[in-house]
Amino acid sequence: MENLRQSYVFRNLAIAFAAVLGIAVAVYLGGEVLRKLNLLETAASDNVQWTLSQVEVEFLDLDLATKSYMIGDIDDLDVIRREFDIFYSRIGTLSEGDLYLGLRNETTFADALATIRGFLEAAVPIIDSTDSEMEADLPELSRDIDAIRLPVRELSATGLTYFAEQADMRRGETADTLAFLAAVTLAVLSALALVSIVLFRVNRINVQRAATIEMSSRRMATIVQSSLDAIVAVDRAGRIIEFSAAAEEIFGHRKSDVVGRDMGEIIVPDALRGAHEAGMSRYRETGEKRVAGKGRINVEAIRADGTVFPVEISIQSADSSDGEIFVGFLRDISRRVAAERELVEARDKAVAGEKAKSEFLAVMSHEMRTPLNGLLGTLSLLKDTRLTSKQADYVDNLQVSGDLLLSHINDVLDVTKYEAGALTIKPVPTDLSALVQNVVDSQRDLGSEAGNTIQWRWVGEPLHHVMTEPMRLSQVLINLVGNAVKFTQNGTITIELLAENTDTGADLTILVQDTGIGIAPEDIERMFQDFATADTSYGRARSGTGLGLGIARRLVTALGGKIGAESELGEGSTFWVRLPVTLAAPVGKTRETAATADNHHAERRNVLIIEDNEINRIVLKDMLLAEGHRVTEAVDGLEGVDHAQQQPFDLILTDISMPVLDGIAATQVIREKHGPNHTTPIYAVTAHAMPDEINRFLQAGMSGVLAKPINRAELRKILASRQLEPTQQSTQTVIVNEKSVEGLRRDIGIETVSNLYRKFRTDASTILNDMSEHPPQTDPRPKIGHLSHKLAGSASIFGAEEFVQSLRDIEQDATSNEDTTLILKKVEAAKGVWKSTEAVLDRAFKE
Amino acid sequence: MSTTQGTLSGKLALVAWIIFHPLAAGANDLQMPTGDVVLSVTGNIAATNDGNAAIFDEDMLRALGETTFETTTIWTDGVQSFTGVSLKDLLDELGVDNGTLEARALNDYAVEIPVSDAVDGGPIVAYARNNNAMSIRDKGPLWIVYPYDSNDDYASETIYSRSIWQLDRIDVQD
Repeated sequence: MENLRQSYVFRNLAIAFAAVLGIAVAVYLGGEVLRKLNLLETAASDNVQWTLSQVEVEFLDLDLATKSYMIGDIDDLDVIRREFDIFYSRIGTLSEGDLYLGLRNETTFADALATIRGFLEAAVPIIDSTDSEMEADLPELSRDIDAIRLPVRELSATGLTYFAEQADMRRGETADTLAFLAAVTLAVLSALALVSIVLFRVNRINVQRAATIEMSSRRMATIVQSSLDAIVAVDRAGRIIEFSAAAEEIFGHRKSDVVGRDMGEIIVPDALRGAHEAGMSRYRETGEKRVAGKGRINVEAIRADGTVFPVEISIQSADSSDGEIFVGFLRDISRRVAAERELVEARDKAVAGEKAKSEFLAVMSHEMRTPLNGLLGTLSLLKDTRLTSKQADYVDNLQVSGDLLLSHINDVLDVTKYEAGALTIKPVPTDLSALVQNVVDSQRDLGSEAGNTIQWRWVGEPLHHVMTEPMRLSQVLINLVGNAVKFTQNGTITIELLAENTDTGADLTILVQDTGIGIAPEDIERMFQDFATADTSYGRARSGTGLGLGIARRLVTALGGKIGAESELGEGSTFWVRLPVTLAAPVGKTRETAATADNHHAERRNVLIIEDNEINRIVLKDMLLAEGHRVTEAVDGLEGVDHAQQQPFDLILTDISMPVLDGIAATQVIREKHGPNHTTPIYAVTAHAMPDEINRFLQAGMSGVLAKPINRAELRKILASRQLEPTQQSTQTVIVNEKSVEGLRRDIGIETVSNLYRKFRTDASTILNDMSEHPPQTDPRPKIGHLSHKLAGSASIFGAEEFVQSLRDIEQDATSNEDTTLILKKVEAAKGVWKSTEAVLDRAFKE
Repeated sequence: MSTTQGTLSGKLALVAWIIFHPLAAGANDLQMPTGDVVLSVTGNIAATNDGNAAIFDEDMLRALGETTFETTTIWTDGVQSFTGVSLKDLLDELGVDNGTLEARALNDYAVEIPVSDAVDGGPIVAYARNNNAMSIRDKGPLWIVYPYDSNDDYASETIYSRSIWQLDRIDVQD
């Protein structure tokens, strides 16, 4: 295409060149012809033939006049004289005239002329003499005249021949000139023809181009005018050169009003005009384009009526005959933005509604668990008293009902907890068969009450150890089996496990089949929604909150699997769970026996209870007393702080919601005051199990949470914790207490702990540096004491035992005004301890 | 170029002659020649002095005005200075403003010259070449000469043929 085009251009150029050359030649030749014609026009000759013949005529006249006088025919000598003069004049003309220059070069002519001139010169004295003298000389003159008859003859004859040749030559020249003229005419015509061809071609091309350009510009105009997006083009200076119909509609300006004006003044709102002008001048100075060619951008524009609205713009630069121009495509997105805003508002409302629901549930569970806590606690105390067997049966029944109620409340709490994002999965090597067996064991009693048999088996090759979260998976299976038991009477519940190997491990399918009443297919989907219950079930005691399957669904999703059910009314149901699992090597028994706190015989502790609810306070006190601990009671936060100021405790248990001073504020006061309990572990005893609340407790300086209703085992675990060991007895300090780490991860979730830890790590570095820096001439010890105390409180939360130990040591030294140099050395040593602590904690919390 | 001056002085002379001459009763009368007659004009003329003819001696011609120009000719060698009465002045004197002149020479050469040739800056009836009176041997005494060099139109065979020398008669025809 390009080659063709080039050769085409070359050919046209060649033709044009030939035409120009032809014209130049024609002009030159035409000039030549004109010159020659001019020469022809200005005749160089007289009628020479006549002149030459006149020589003979006049010679004969002279001869005749002379002879006539001599024979007496005439008697006037003047006649002879006149004829002589005429002849003389004629010969003079031939001798002098330029006309005869060529002729005079002819030898014959020149000789004859010389002879005649010789005669004339010789005759002049005779002619000019008196009549008598002349008459005497006449015979001699007549003889002389006769003597030149031949030369006169020769003169005219030679002249005629010469001029005839000249005439021939002249005719030839004329013919040549005419031929030349014809050739020139032909050349001119050819050149004109070539020029015509070139002009015709050029014209045709121009017409085609003009048509193409007009068509494309018309097409462009149509595109511009019919585009739904506004199209605005500006020149380098930012002046509008195009303003489409859509632009007129969107901006409310008429094209004729805005063309030639600065775009910034027309469509850029005041707030953005500065930036726009800065951008334009930057472009003019440096050529840098920040917006053009950078795709779609959302900005704001202004209409003629002053309303500012959002637009999506895309600007491209283009070269035009007037230099670079910018073409902007602008789309009015105010509706879209409004729709988005509505969506966001709707979502925010929904989220807020969800949050309100969660909060409501949390509050409700708290309100329900507080009296339940009292009820169950009292029951367990009642069981320890002397009862009749009937009374013991009643207490047992109460215990069963209470436990069931508690499990419902726990379900609700689970849901709210998972909604709040606390559901994190930490896969560990798990023996699947053992897990399923445990689930079956736990449900067997419940199942047999309804006459059901529960069994389980592997279908095909069993899997032994896989990576999964055993607690969550157990919970799912308990929910499914519990559900099956609820809707089956005198039937069989079968758990089948099926493993299919995959590239990364295996797909595990667990089927829980029952022979119960079944579910209508249209209800199956609904089963997995929160608070969904089927219309009928066996026995009121088995009715539930309807949260079980919803929780199971959440857990399975968190584990990366799917859950579903197939059922027909009256035909029983099959619930299935599919989980991708990776295989794990079998592990030893060490982990399973990790929690041995139950068996650990606890030291006798001095415990402060801060609780406004009398029943709860009594229950807690009695539990502690039963374990052999000492108890001090406070009815609100203020009283608790007072007690804490007076004597040291090994442990402080505090309620959160209390009149006068709540648990959080009380904890802060105890931590901030340099009383005997500023490092004592403080546990929140609360039904507030929400993760962000736990964060608040920890930030306030609490060491952990003891959930209501109080579980004796948990309480024992806390009392047996090494944190509570008196410092002087702590002979086997570790860098980081793994149990603390484990407990933090389990109780408040790894994400929250990681966040807390990051904050703590930053604080630790800052505080350690502050401790070693102090103004000269001042006593640094109060500051060091305060800072080490503060840091130890935070560090203890993360189980950084060695670090806490070294900080307490420093604090002790500082408060007892030990030597400053020694203290500063210990601070430096603490920095070293922090380094190793930090390394361990980084591994534990930085996920 | 003294053509205009010569013509003007000729006219002034004529006017002065008409006003002060005692015989100037009619405009058609010409002075009588006192020397040899060098030119006789016949035919359709308004002024006469010899019956139906107007005859001139050299002094009379000189009195009509003197025009001089330089030119080359094809019959002579080099640039020549010609002096004479312009043909226009002569014909004005004779009251001729249209028609054709049939000019004849001593050797009976005859040629027709249209009156329209007689213009200012045009041909003269020369009586001197290079300030010398012309003899018959020297194509005199009168020679109608065109200023060939000053006008290319005069370089044509027609004009050459009208350049009659040894002129002695003119017959003015319609």
